[in-house]
Order: sequence, then C-alpha cells, then structure tokens
Amino acid sequence: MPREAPTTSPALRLVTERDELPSIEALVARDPDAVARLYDLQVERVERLVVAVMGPDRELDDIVQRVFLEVLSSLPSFRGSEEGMLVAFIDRITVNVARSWIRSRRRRAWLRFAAPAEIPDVPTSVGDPRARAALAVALRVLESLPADERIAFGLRRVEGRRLEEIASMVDASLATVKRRIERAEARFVAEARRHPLLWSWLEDHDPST
Amino acid sequence: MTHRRETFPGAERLARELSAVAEAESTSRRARREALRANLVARATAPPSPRRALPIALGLGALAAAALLALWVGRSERPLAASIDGEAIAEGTFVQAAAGERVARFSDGTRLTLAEGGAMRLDRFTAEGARVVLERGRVEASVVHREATRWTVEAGPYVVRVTGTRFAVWWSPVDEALEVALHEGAVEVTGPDIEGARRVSAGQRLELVVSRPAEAASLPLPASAGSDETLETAELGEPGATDEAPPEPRAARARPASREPRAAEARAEPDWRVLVESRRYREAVALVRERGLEPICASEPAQSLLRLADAARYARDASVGTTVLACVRARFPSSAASAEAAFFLGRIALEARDGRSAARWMEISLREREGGPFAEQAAGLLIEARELAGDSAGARSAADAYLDQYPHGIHVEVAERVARGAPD
Repeated sequence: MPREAPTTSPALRLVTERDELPSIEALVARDPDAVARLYDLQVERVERLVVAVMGPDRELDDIVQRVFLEVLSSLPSFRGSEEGMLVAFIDRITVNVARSWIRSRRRRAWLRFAAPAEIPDVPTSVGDPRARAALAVALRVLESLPADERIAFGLRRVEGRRLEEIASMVDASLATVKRRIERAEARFVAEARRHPLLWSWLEDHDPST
Repeated sequence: MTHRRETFPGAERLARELSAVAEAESTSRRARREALRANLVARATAPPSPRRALPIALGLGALAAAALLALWVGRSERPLAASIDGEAIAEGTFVQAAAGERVARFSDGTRLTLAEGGAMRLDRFTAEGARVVLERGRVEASVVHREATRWTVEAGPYVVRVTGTRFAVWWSPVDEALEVALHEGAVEVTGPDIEGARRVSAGQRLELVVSRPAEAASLPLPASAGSDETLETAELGEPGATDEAPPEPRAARARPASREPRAAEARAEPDWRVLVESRRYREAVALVRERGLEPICASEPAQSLLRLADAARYARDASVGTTVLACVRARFPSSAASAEAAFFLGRIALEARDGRSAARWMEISLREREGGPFAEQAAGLLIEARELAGDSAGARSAADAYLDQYPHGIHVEVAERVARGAPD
C-alpha cells in the first residue's frame, strides 16, 4: 500500500507508490535494482498464478524464477506502453511456463516409468484435516488432466479470471477456453466420483456420519 | 445431492479451498523471498558464460576502449547538442506538443519526451546538461548519468535537480500544481512550501500546489466557514483552489484564523483523494457518494477527476465512474483529459457488454486524440466492441486498421482472427 511521508507544508504531499513497476528500458538493460523491484512487486502474483494452475508444487521456486527470467528475456519484444499491459504480459508468460513445466514433467515421468510429480501436502493452514485430505485427492485428480484443461480450470475456478482474460492469457479463442473448462470439469467429476473421500467432501456429506 | 447452482457439486467450495491453498503457499514463501530475489538478480545480470564470452569480451573491450579514447579526445567543454525528429535544435528552442508527443534527444543520450498538450523551453545547454523550463504539461525525462551531470527542470517556481535518472514532471500553470514521479534514481525539488530541498526517490511521487496565503487571508470568514470537505481540500493543498473553481467553493475555502484546531479536525476527517492514493477505492467511492458528486465534478481539476473515475472502475461502481467521466468531458472539452475520459467510458461500456456504446466511445477517443497514450488500446478494443455489437464488417475494418498501425501490438491475435473472418 502506498504511504505518505510527513509533509513540510499543507500544500505538499509525498506519496510512495510501491506498486509502480520499473521501466522497460531498465529491465531490458538488466538493471539490478529494476529486476529486484519487478520481483518484489510481482512475485506474489506469479506464485499465486502458478499454484492456481499447477497446485502447490515442490518446484515452485524454480518455476517462479523461470517465469521472471523468461519475462526479462522476452521484454525486448514487448510493445506495451502501460503498466497494466506489462502485468498481462507477465501473466501470459507465467501460464506458458507453467504449461511447459507440466508437459516436460510428464515426459520426464514417462521416461522414468514413474508416477507423475508428487504432490506435496496441502498446507496445514488450509481447512480441517478432512478438507486437507480431500484437497490432496482433488489436486491429484487435477494433476491428471491435460495441461491446457488444467490451466483453464485453474484460471477460471481458482483465480476467478474472466473468460476473455483467460483467452488472452492462453492465446486461444473464447469458445476454446469454454470447452476446455467444461471438459476439465467433466473429467474432474468423473474421476472425483471414484474417490469417496473427495466426492463426499464435495457433496458435503461426511461418510463417518 | 446438493441443490447449489454449481457446475458440479462442491465446485464453489473446491475453488475456495484451492484459492486458500494458493494464498497459503505464497504466504509461506515470504521468508525465503529475499534469497530468491538475490538469486534472480544474480542470474538475470550475470554475464554470458566465460567460454563464449571471452572472445566477445576482448573484442568489445577493444571497441569500448577505442570509443572511450575517442570520447576523451573529443571531449571538451563543448555544450551538448540536441535534436527533435532528427533536426538539430538551438539553445532556447521552444517546443510545443500540439498533436502527439515530441521527443528531444541530446548528444549525451538523454531523452526528454513532452506529452501531448505540453510546452517546454530547452534552455542553456552546457557540457554537463541543460536547463529545461516546463511551461505546461508533462515531460518524461531519461537522463543519462555521467561523472558530471547537471540537469534542471524548472516548473513555475519549482526546480527539479537531476544527476541521472528517469522521472516525469507535470506542471499546470492554471492550477499551479506540480507533480514529480520518479521511476529510477532520485531528484531534489526546491521551491515554495519546501524547506531546503525535498528528495524524491524511485517509486515516489511528489505532489505540490503553490499555497496562496494572501488570497486565503483576504477571504471572508463566516461563522460556518469551511465545511469539513472544503477544509480538507485546503489543508491538503489539493488543486481545488484554482481559477476554475466556481465562486461558492472558493469562498468556502477560507482558512480559519487559527489553523491548528482546524488542521486537527481536518486530519480526523477522511478525504477521498487520500483514500484513492491509498488504493482504498471502495471507501473513496463510498465517501464521494455520501458527500455528493456534484461539488466534486464542479470544482476538481481534470486529473483529479480522472483518478476518481479510475477508483470507481476499480471499485466496480460504473455509475460513479460514468458520471465523473461525463463531468470531465463537459468541463474540459477538446482536452487530452476529455479524450481519455471517452476511452474509459468505452471501457466501462465494454465491461457492461454494451458493444454499441463501447464502440462509439472508442471511436470518439481515437478521433479526438489520434496517437495519444490510449490510442493503441482504443484501436484494439474497438474491434472487440464492434464484434460485440454484431458489426462484423466494422470489426474487420477496425482489425485491418489496427494491424496496419500496430503490427506488434497487444491485440494482434484478436485483430488477425477478426481480419481473417475466423469465428471466435
């Protein structure tokens, strides 16, 4: 939040705008202060977005670093003139990095004949033990969805983004985005029914009662 | 089964909990961010790997040495040279940005961009810098730092001293209001109401209004002088006490004989401008609604009204946003602010899925400020608005125009799809 410094007169106001992003020129020049400032101002947003589309992930720090490095290396081609455009640009790159990460992880998993990425425990600060157990299953189910469907689902249902926004972020038409969300939900429901713990939690019926 | 209107049972609950997971994950990482930021900065600013970099570095080093030598040999006390649109300009040149911005480039690499509607005089070129007199409007400066750099931007009674940084200065001679926004580095500002010099650092913005004690003292002080609202304005020194203000608010701006109690009173009362600056948009808009929009619309300067309109948009109060933007258009016709207001009226209409109205406002915005700061966005959103209004031919024409003008713009994907006539 911005804060006001003490004023020296009634006519003077000094406002600190913490959310003002550094200039594109400084970022392209890899000015250390500008890079640090970009990170400070956008890291929470990037982390939230990654977790929304991938779930809590042990590689989250690496993914977020990759996002920022991609942003910096793509900036020379950025043509926007406003801060909002830069934020949208970062969002798009975040989604692209998440998609590549999901796909490459699946390739690695297949090569190693191993299960898909392990999903860490749901943070203990979230919900009650039953909710956490159900969420862990839900995250495993979401993990099994095709990358594009999982991303569309996360952006819509977890991040609450508008369909138009999602379409722009994933570079697809509105109709495609709608289709992906519908398919993701259909697959999720079909799979969730096979897990009594999750399904009963979703239906709000405790099987123990 | 539950009877909630959801796409599947528990969908809302799942979304809520997953969102909490995202929040918790982000919160849990706060302690590690410093190390992660340091790691990112190190990686982002690291030179290329030594094996590849060595020959390049040697080559570049030789080139740099030659360039430095040439610079040193050629260096003298010769003043900087400057040009606009490739044409050399002399000291004392008066620059006006009547239609579109004007960019002045200096031989030391410094760049001054005068926004549309502004005027400045480029005065006194020296070997270390120049003196810029900003007559009105906004100038964005990117001053290259060297061993000895001395640039000043003078705006009315204020002087901004610079040694190398990126910043913007906005000056309104009508409101006698100054704004200095720092993108990088720091500057020092001197002038009325500032004790000594005020340092402004990166990420800060300094707003100043020349106080008018003589004027205030000459005003009558009725028993009911100064409603809370007007007192706050006076205490904050917002650009309200201007020539544009109607008579009633001006009279009401009288300062009390003893300022201390009033100042305390004023500090106790909320001010919508402070709330807007603090990003407390809902509270700001609620306060404005409570106190009535009419006096604000009648007295506030254009930039202040545009900020309020922004706040209303962020607070999702389309009604206040629309009213304030309409005020801007009515009070400041043919100005950059008016065109900006048209653009945001279009945005509000688009958010309300009113394609026809959105298209009309985008057209007005583009017509009134061709090449203005919102031109690209307006051109892109015009495609969407016409499409939404069912005007396929108009959308295609807007898409063609957009692609011609902004082949690398942010709306290129939509423009290409519409231009191809492909379905959404």
